[in-house]
Amino acid sequence: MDYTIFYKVKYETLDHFILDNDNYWDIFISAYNDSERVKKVLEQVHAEKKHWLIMPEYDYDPNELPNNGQIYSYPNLKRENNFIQEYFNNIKIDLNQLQVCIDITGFMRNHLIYFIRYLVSKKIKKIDAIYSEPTTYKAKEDTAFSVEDSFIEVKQIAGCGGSYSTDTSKDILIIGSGYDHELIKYVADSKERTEKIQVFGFPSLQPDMYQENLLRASKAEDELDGTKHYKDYFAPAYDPFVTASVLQEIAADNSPYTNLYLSPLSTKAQTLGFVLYYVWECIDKPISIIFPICEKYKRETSIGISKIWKYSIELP
Amino acid sequence: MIKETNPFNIVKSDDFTNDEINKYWVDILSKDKKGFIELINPSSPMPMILLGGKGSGKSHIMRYFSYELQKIRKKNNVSDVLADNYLGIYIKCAGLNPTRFYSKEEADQEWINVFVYYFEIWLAQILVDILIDIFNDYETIKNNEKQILQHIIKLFGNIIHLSDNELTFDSLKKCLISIQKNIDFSINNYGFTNKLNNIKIEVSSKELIFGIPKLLSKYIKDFKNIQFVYLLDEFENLYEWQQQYINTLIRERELPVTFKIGVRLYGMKTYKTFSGGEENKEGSEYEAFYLDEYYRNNKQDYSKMLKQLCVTRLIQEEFITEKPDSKNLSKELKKYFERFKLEKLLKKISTKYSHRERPYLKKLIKKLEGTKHNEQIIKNLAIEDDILLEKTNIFLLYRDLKKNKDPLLSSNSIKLELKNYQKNQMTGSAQKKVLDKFKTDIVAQLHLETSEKINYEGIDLFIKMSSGIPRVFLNILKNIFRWSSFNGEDPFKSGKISLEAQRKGVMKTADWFFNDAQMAGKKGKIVKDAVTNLGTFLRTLRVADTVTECSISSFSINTAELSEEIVEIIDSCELYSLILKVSKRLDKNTKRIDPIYQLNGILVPKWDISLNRRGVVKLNKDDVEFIFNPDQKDQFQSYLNSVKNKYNIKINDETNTKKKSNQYALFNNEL
Repeated sequence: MDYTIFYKVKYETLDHFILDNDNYWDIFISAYNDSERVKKVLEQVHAEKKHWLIMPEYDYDPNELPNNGQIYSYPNLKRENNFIQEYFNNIKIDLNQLQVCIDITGFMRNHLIYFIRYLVSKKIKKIDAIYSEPTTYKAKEDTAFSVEDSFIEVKQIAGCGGSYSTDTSKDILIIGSGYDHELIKYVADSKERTEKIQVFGFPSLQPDMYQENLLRASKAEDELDGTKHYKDYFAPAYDPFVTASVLQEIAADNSPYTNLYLSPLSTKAQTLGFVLYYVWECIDKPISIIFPICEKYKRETSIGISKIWKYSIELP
Repeated sequence: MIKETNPFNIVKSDDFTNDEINKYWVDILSKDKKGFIELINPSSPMPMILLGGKGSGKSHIMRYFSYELQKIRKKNNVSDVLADNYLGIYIKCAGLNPTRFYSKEEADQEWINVFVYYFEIWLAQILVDILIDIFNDYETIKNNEKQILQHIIKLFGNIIHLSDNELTFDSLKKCLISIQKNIDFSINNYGFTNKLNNIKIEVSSKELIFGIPKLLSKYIKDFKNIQFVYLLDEFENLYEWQQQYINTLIRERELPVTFKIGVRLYGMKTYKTFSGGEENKEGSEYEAFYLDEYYRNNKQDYSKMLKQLCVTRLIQEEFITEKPDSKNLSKELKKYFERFKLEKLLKKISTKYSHRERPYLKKLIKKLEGTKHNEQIIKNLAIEDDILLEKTNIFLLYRDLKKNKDPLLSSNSIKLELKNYQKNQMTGSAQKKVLDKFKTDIVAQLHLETSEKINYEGIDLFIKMSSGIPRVFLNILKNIFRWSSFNGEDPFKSGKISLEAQRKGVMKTADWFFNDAQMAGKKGKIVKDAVTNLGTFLRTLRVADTVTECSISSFSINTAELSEEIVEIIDSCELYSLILKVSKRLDKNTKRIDPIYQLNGILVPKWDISLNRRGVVKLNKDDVEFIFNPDQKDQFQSYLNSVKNKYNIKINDETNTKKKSNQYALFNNEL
């Protein structure tokens, strides 16, 4: 699969994004949180219908919810598949007939991954996605995204499993390493006997974020270290298509492997890249996407809106 | 320049290939010549649960007993492998990816059935892989392949059909893979359909896991005396209901099959079974082996094993060429490390404070401010050219002041005792008694009060710090090697590894251990905070003016008077190897037996606590509450202040004047 054929557009500001006449959709779907880059985009975007998905992990009270879009909130549906399925059951729309865009910025990664996987299972072929970069993260290299001590377990994302080999002698774990070093540790610990490979976001969203990322990821060093074939890879933090290509390259470099585990813990854009690689190349193989499930996430971790990216996603 | 090859870089069994497990293997040889083969006893039909902290070596040992390692040891001679009288079938529970089988919570019967079926097919595949290898390598057995497969196929009912030409274990393996793929597909599809479609369970529980070994034993004479040992590692990765199923297999096991389970201390979620809700009992359905506890209770054997391990690594990476004689092992390894010399420290402090007041003396002077005869008191105690004795004198003074003795009289008496000590150190002078008992604490206080870092050096200390967890020992050496190289030293090749590199390596390992031993979620934070509080509390006692017990690192608790929540927190601290239950103590008044705990040795440097286990502090209910109860978090500092007040000396001149006048009166009368 050649991911370079996928189309993406960069907008330097929100205004540029809004003023582009191509940016009009029948449905615009976003996951609500307190970030300016999430709220402002939905507020200003041109769309017939605007849907707010209220992720349970943000733990919003009903009186905290926005009133500028249709609310889809299922606080008791903790599992990503139950949540997304309920949303689609409620909207009852054939997405193949409409122009749809999702803002992946505020999505929980596991929900985002399942969302795309679900679209594939329903034979949806195309969707647009946008991602807004922050100007900076609030606490710089100390920014935490998941709420401290809310980790539950490392789990395979629903629908993103593989057909596993009983031979585990050359299992590989590819981690998209972000700021949440504790989550990296949990994932690495759950797959102890794997060769661990990290994919760092480089170029990063902002120049200083690469160093911040490395500083944080280094705290998981002991879980990742000691492995003889340990090697770092790099993919732009904002580019899902290059990320998917890099994953393809890693798999080829380390072939033959026995089982391959993917765990995207970095930007949503890279997460999108992980799931694109999975749906295009990994279904029914000994490859799966695993993720450290947390009970709660912080509602606001960033400041400002920097660039906005629009990705034209095509699905198998 | 940082040396590229660190002989201790690999600290996890997972990072070793099978050949490397064999190459680096070091056995434990006890006084009665018991090695791991006798301890684990793989050919015994009795199931075993091998429990140990993270890094205690469970996986390493279990892999050692796997078929793959048996074959390497027997130089690929299958007949010799079978002469072991057991076949080790190694399975990592994480490989099953057990979390995709619904959820943590109690699964419904449909999911249980799917898991049981999957487990059957999974284990059968791993066993069949071994049989493929055996049958291909062993001509005599190869002739029986078709015959045995005819029997094995019958276990599958009608789902497997193999023609005469296809009656090979290779073909059977392909069928099993196909069955497994179908189940994987259905489980994955559940994510979209919420239904487990297309899984028809054709083989019932135990049919293959016990059935295949039974057939082999019955029909092929080479297998007649073979114990088929399923080595189930990483058991903690299974949900409780999944463990319950395997407990059932253990309970209902059939010869020639047995199980050895490898699990972390906190990992056994249940001993219940699906056999009418019965629970497996130690000594009846299984035997338990606590690995790190065994190491701690067999210190000499453990020490020898780790020293051998160190030497093996050095030889393999060509740092040394010859294995030292076992009698000289300690001596040989000691020479690589710089030793701490007390005289050097004392000289350093002396030089450092040659033009200013030594801090502990300054502290005393401040306490004595406004007290009568304070200059004389200081004069009685100060010894310019012997800092250790000077500190000891102050220690003695504080002890007397705690008993409300007059400071001047006390210092006079101490001065007199000092003269006796200086004449003949073998006399029972006060200084000698204190130094015999509290020297380590006094030296530690000297370090801390003069801003000198406490040293942690020498292989024996590292072994002791590891507290029965070999990975801790390896991590210490790994980190020391790194620091030593970074400092421009040539570790294990020339010169000695400096005290600084040793200390930094130990500190890094302490931080790693503390961060690595983590429970998930809120409980993890509660446990960590509790241990931090405990460490801080023990440190406070150690650096206090009046140290009550020497080398305090242990504490006893009356668990009967504690709430369930607190007991659970303490248990969690133990299950995550942050504290260790080391002994019991009989309460003389109540005759009650209280457990004694100690902070894990590797955590000692985090709070400058003693590694030696001599003094035991008895924690009362309030102490336990403030230390372990998260609801008391905001009160902990106040509590700590009260502890400091209790054990630190404040000299109140008014009070002492009254007492002094009484004492003087007495003194004068006596005169």
